[in-house]
Amino acid sequence: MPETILIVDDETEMADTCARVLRAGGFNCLVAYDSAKAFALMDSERPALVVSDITMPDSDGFEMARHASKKSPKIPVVLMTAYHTPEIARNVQQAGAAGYLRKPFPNAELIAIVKMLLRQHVNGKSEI
Amino acid sequence: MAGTPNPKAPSLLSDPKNRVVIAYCFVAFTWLAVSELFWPAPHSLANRLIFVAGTAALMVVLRWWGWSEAHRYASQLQESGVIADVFFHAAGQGILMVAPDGKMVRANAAVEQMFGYGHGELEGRPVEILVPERVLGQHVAHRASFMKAPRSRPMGIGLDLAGRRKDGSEFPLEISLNYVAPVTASQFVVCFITDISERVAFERQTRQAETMNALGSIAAGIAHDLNNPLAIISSRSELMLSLLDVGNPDLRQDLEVLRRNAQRASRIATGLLTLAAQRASERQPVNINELVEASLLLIGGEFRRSNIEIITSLDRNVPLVPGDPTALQRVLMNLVMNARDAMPEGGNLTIVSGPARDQAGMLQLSVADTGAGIPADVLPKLFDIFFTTKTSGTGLGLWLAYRTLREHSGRIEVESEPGKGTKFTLTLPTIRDRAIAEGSREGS
Repeated sequence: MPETILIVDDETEMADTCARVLRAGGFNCLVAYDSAKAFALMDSERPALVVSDITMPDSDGFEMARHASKKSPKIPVVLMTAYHTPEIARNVQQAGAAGYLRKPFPNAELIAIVKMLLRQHVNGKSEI
Repeated sequence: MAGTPNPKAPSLLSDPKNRVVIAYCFVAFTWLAVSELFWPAPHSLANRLIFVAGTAALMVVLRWWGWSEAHRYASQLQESGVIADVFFHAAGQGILMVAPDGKMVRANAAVEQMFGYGHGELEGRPVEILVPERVLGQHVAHRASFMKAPRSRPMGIGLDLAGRRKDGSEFPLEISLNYVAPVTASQFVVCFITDISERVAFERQTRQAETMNALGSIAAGIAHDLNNPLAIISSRSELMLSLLDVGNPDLRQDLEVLRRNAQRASRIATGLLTLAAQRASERQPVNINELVEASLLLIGGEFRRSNIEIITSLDRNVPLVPGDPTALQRVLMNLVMNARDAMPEGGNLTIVSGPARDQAGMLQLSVADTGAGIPADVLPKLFDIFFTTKTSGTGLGLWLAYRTLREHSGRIEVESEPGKGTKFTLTLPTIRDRAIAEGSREGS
């Protein structure tokens, strides 16, 4: 049974593109174009991982990461952004995100980071 | 003098000379009366001689008194003249006295220096030689209308006033006009002149910095807006490439070109973003050698593969620089990568650090390559924004380097000879206070 990944981005074509890439990588994908739907899907579908844009009109990726970290078990979040500044990188760490992607990124990089985090997460859980 | 109150009308007794004369008259009449009544021979020669001698003595005393007072007055006048002269010439502000006909009566040392004239060279010449030619006509008219209703006021309110030096060059100035009402027969206008070149230059720099900050935030916005669509183009091209049949080489090539160019556009956007990151950097003591070593660690392998030998001569006791290490490292990396691009066939990269030979308290770091060199006509444009000779260049690297060095109160210079190579030299101020430098070195 493939893991389910939730993709959140207000840029609908970007969200769809990430879904296409991850489906090609063998994952199940859910897509949300706004944070309200993303929070709802996180609660109802319990995805294994969230890939979220940082800058969105109604909320931001940091909020997404904080919400996901309150879940039990925690849901790892990969944040992606088109703003490449050192401040953003620091904020990503502080928000407790598991990974960080700078747009544009090679498709292989997205698949690699998702696979690595899922592996770590499974190992982490088994250790507990 | 309008400010001083009117002195009281002098009484007859207030002048000491009058008191002496009155006292003498009193004594003389008393003497006459007493001698008339009691002297055995009041009209004798002896009595008259005493009277005449007393009068003569009084005349001598009064004369001597007058002389010494005049002398004292003259020397006081001379002394105050000398003091006024000292103030006049020692004043940092330019002071110029102009007669109603526009001839300069007196100019102090500051005016002469400001306008590039020698001592005494201005006196007697028309003030218009100090006025830029483009406003000469206006100045003559303004001077005439000022003299019709003279009053003290700043000159040219709301205008950018300029002065003309002896060599014809112009500089910005501020003038305050002060009319001196005629005390004697002569009247004149006293102009207080301030050279504001430095202030104007500082204001221009500040405005430029503000513009750059604004440009930085715009650049950040543009970079963000570009990176999103570029990410979509790049990812979708990759998806198409992965789904493509092996038997379609042309389409594969087209998609490769699309993807590569999307990535190139993104690099340009990221270059723009570094503008935004340039703002509000924090200063700390920086060891320039550590920056060199860190950069070489990053690029060493690549340079070896490109057949480039790295030669370093780093002064171990190099003084620390107050600066932003990230920005300075970015400058260094930029110079090193440019050097690599200039030597596609391999060569030598030489990095030298040490105190500046000709300037105390400054440090120099040079990055030299043995590459193709830069043609002389390109050199002046090298630090211009968006100027590049590379097909994939952004034209931001050297411009940012120039800006970074300027923000550090330093400078970047380039020497190049086509066919022989190029050398960039960075000159930076150092931390002079060794205690502070040592303290922060221990702390870091």
